[in-house]
Amino acid sequence: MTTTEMREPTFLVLTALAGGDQHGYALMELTERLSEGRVRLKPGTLYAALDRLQGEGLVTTTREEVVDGRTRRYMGLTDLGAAQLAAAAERLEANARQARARLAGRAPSGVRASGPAVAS
Amino acid sequence: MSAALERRCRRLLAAYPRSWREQHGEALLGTLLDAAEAEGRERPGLDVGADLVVRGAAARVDRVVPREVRDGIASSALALGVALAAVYVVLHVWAPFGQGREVFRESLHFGPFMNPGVIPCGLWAVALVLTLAGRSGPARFVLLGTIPVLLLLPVLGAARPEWDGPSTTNLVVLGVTAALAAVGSPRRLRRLGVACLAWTAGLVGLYAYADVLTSIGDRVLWARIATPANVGLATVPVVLLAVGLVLLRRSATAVVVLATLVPWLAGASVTVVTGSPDQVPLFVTTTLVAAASGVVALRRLPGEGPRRRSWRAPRPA
Repeated sequence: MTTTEMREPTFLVLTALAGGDQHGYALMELTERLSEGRVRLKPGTLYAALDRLQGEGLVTTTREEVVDGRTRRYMGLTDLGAAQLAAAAERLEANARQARARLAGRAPSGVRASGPAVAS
Repeated sequence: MSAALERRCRRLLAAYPRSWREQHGEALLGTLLDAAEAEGRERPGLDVGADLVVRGAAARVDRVVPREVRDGIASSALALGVALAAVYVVLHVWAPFGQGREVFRESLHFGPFMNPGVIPCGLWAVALVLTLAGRSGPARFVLLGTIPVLLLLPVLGAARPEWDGPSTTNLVVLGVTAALAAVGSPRRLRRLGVACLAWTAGLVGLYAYADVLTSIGDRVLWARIATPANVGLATVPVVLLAVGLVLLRRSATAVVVLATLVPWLAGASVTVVTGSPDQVPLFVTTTLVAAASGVVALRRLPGEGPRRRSWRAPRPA
């Protein structure tokens, strides 16, 4: 391993952008929806992530619009970003396949986690 | 849209540096207003405000020392700190090969060790393992956690004459190195592992060269090897290397290289203050030259790296 793995919020932001360019609030909503409510990015965190991803060449600004007096900056995925997202997805899929295969071959051990007794 | 909401959001954006606000302020403001409106709020939530303040402060730090440079400094400091901690524990705190160890052990003991320096050094090992496992956040937490431990040890040690140290020099050096290692997240983990081994081998080599591998004493490194004079001498090639890197437009690397001097200069400063006042001029000169080189390298950073690219929208054709 030569670099740290892609973290979930980064993975979700890139995944959201893989479907097309998005502006800030749409990205916040999409990442929350894609994570089924687990990841809710705050605006400051989102812009810090976009700043970093832009610096790494994974995303880029495609256009800006002013709607009702508000600036909406649209971000898009670069080819490098798409390649890194695909590689991360491949890794996750491979890990999931391994986990499912090993779970399928697992015989019940009869050992329960410690905790309050459950009446049967 | 409420003017009061916009005013409150703009006030929070003041946490960011002006240059950042000029590039991204209006876009972030638009997102804040969209989010507040969707939630039916007339003011940003406390969590959103706190997040903006923290991110704004980080952006301010980022303008002075960019994240990539901080990551490099953190990686370099972590490797040095792990090596210092490992050598310190094995040769001084545990000292299984120490000459006359059994005699010293009659009066100096902390369990099987000579002093409780094993505790902060153990935390360094935990930080390394966490970093190599890709958990840089918890690793930074552990590194910062060593600092209160290092502050507490002398307080506890004042009432325990059977503890031989840790000496002030080692406490200061480990603390300063921990603070440096916590300023970022090492990215190239294989290189980090190699650097840990290289620093450890280098330190053991220096101990062997100075013929102090089996010497008992908490300050052997600082009294016999990293003396203020030797640190001053070693600073010269490091500064020359940094100047060369700046000329080659590798200022980020130059800053990382110069940052490796900080723990050594911190150790030398304690030696100078506590026992070698005659070396003050040399130490001050060395520190000023290294600091000036660092400032020059930092000022040359803009325009050299991809981080300084603007991410404004492209102009319409």
